[in-house]
Amino acid sequence: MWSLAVADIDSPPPAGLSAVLAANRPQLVRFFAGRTGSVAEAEDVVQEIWLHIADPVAAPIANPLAYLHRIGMNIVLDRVRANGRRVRRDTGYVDATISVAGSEAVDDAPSAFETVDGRQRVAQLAAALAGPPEGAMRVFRRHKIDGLSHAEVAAEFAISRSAVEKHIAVALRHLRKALDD
Amino acid sequence: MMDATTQDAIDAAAAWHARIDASDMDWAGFGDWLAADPSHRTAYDSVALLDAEIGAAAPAIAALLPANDDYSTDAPPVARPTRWRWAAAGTGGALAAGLALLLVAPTVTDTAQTYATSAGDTRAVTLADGSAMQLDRGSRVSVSGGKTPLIELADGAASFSVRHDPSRILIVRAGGYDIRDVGTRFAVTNARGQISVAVAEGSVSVAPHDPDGSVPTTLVAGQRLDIDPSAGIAQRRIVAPAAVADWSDGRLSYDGAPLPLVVADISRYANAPLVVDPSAAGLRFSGVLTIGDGSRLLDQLRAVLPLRLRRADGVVHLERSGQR
Repeated sequence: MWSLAVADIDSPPPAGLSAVLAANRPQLVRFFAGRTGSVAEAEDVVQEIWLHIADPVAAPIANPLAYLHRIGMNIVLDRVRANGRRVRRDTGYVDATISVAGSEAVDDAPSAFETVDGRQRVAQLAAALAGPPEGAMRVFRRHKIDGLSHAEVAAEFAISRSAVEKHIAVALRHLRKALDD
Repeated sequence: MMDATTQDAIDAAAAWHARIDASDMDWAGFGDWLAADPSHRTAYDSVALLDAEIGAAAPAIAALLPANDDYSTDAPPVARPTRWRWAAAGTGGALAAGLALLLVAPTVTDTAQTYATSAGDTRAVTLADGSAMQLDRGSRVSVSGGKTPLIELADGAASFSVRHDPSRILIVRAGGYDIRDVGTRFAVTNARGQISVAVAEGSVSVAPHDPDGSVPTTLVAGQRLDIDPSAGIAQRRIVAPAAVADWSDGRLSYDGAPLPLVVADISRYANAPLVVDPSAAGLRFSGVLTIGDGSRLLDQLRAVLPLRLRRADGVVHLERSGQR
């Protein structure tokens, strides 16, 4: 029965993103030099964007240049995070937590400290998200916790997308402050 | 510890960050602001990291928030699946699996030999007939049959490089299907009820283990067959020979692959079942994913595709997000 259902599927690979990247490479390097503080690192980041789109992406993309920026932003954030871990490790903070799985040291894994502390941290985040300012936090929760897009949140609260952005900015600002104190 | 200037930078960083997905985001202006002062970069890092942390812990946070908001539908009952805890479980499992391997290995007297890999490991095995087998992370096979090897792939993926010898045939059995081979390079996956066969060199034939009268399907180099045994559906696709078993290099590369296919691959490395919702099933992915310990694969996918994750009953649903 199954052999009847064998379907031949050709993958159609449309082009585009690579060309956009090539045409805007200097602009991207300039942007990520500002983002990372280093031209050399910016070159690395743009190279990594290349890897992510090494083959033409078929998903429809409305604004390819913005899309390339966002990919790069994610790459940089991963690097920032990895650096944070390294710094903490170098200071001996989580020294005992690097486990070895096979030949690779898994420093992506949580430290024992982080795991034990995780529950407490989540409680802290939840408390801040339930705190003031109420309107901004409600918008932020709908987006970040429930996963609605800005447009969906805007529709639900009957406000403009720019109002959604402002609420989210306000919420982020308060969250940062609440968690720093 | 936070002076007025720092707070200003945080405010501005939050405002920029909230606009990242906007269609009219002023990237050049954002770049200028970042470059204007090193403190801007630091402020932005702290805002973006916090935002990402909240996003990663969203299900656990949702479980703790008061229920008077309309979260209802998908908030999991317990605050279990934070990313760290998954990763922690994965590491523990990896160590446990490694230990189990040491205990199982020396059973040479047995007719069938079992090989297993942990979540962070691949393993190369030379079979009795001289063929080479490479096991992916988190995989389990048993080998019997000596000169005409029979390999049962219980879970995970394995690739084979078989020496040409017409006098014997290597058989890989996975999920009720037999893949027969007389000298070629190919890979077989058996994960979460889906079977996949991809050929890099030569050809193999694929048929149900219990004959049902159907003609075996022949796969040649550059082809991949994905079988859903429960539905009785198989799809044959083109695959770049170089991409066959590219997991052995720690990567997964795709060229216009349908999302369900990509997710079938990465779900082997995930600690929870992944389900592609119909809304996202039409998406295609091109690019290279880095396997690492498996915990970052979904994030890499989300960086390039309009996806959002919804966790319900221990299952992660991938849905298409609104416009980005």
